[in-house]
Amino acid sequence: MLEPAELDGAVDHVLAAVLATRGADFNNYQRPFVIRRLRRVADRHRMNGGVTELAARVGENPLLVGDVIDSLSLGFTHLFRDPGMWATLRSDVLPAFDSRTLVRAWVAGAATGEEAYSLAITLVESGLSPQRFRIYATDINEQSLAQARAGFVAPDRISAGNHDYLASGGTAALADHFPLSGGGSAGEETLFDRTLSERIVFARHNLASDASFNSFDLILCRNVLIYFNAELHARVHEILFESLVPGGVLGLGSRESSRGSAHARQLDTIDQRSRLYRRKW
Amino acid sequence: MVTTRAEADGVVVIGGSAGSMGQVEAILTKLPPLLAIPVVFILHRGMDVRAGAALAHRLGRVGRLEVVEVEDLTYYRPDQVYLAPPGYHTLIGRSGPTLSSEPRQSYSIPSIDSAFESAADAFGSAATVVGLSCANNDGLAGARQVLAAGGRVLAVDPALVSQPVLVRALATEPGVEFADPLGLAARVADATSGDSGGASTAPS
Repeated sequence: MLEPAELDGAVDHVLAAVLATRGADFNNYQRPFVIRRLRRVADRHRMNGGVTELAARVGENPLLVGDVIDSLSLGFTHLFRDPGMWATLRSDVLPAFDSRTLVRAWVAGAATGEEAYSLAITLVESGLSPQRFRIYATDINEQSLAQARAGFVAPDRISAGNHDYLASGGTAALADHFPLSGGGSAGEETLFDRTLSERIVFARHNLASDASFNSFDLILCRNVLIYFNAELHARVHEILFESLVPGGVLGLGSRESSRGSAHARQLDTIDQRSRLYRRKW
Repeated sequence: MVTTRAEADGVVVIGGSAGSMGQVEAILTKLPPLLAIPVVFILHRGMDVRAGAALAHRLGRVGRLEVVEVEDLTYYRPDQVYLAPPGYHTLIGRSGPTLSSEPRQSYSIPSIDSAFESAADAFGSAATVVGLSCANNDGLAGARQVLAAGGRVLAVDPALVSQPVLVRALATEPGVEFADPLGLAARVADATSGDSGGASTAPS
């Protein structure tokens, strides 16, 4: 077993190799998470020497660098995660969007699309026709984005999400938004409703290095900040704040808050439990 | 906005399930009002966010320390102990506990294994982990990592708890120290003073 300082050195070496060869900077990610993900990569490649062996081999193998980036940038989520937040969004936020001709939303850290799908369903069930909203869903992981764009969601994930969907105030059955795909194998695949998916743009965006790219009425950036240290936290909050129109709403994960933001005083808390904040006018 | 936070000299991570509340309360009662070494509790429980907050509030009334559910940018303070929130893994960092949304590990979220392993990574021989009443083996693999790193593993006596799966498994590991709930609480309190070391004791 490595001493903590030796483990740190090996992790630093891997991250430096990733930065040098691909320009991806994970140095401001929380170190315990980075160690876990690097260990997964080492295990997958059957490296008995763990992260030390990964550090020794990463420079000579571009595939390993790609694997490290994928492993560190992988998002984990599910449909209608934290139903209380979605319920508050329905009851306290979306009614005010009634008067807008077009609602722009950004799902930052969209992973495999579940958050964007959940938002599209919530918007349309709240009375906004699909033509009246546009969702920009971004992530740094290209594989996740490709999966999100394809729109296939396994039926068991839809069944698993139905409880949270109903708890969020869902007015139908979640499966109604995921018709069976003609192209699925033996009817085992379901595809997210085309009329809704056409309103979502999935695109690559790196919160650690890219700038704000538009202004939005609603931004969901949930369970992303937990992976970042204070420096990156502050940077991401800066981007999120810049990207909100006055009166725009920001939703964070259930264990994330606005306190890492230099603009915390310009964000009113809509509901602390739901972690929903509104940029002051 | 960016602040540099002090790194702790060690950590005590305590894992158990819902049936371990009596042991948790015994520990909280024994802990001093200021800790030299931070203490983090990883307790299996339901996913309800409100129930999580209620548990932190309830445990905060037991002893002299504030019980804080881990959030982003949580840093160790000597007048607080930390509780893993439901629905996330709590990982142990040198200046504070951190969170991850990865899938269940050892069938659990929060998983005791992931917390113990990260404590071994961050603190090596300065990590102490504690096994309480627990209905599955979550914590065993992590405790092995702590032992391999030269850290210390304490556990409640399996004969004295309702759910002894974890601590019974720990009894097969050389070097694990066992005690009854009150004795265990005293050892944990001692470990948080920062200058502990202890002789191994076989389980009864």
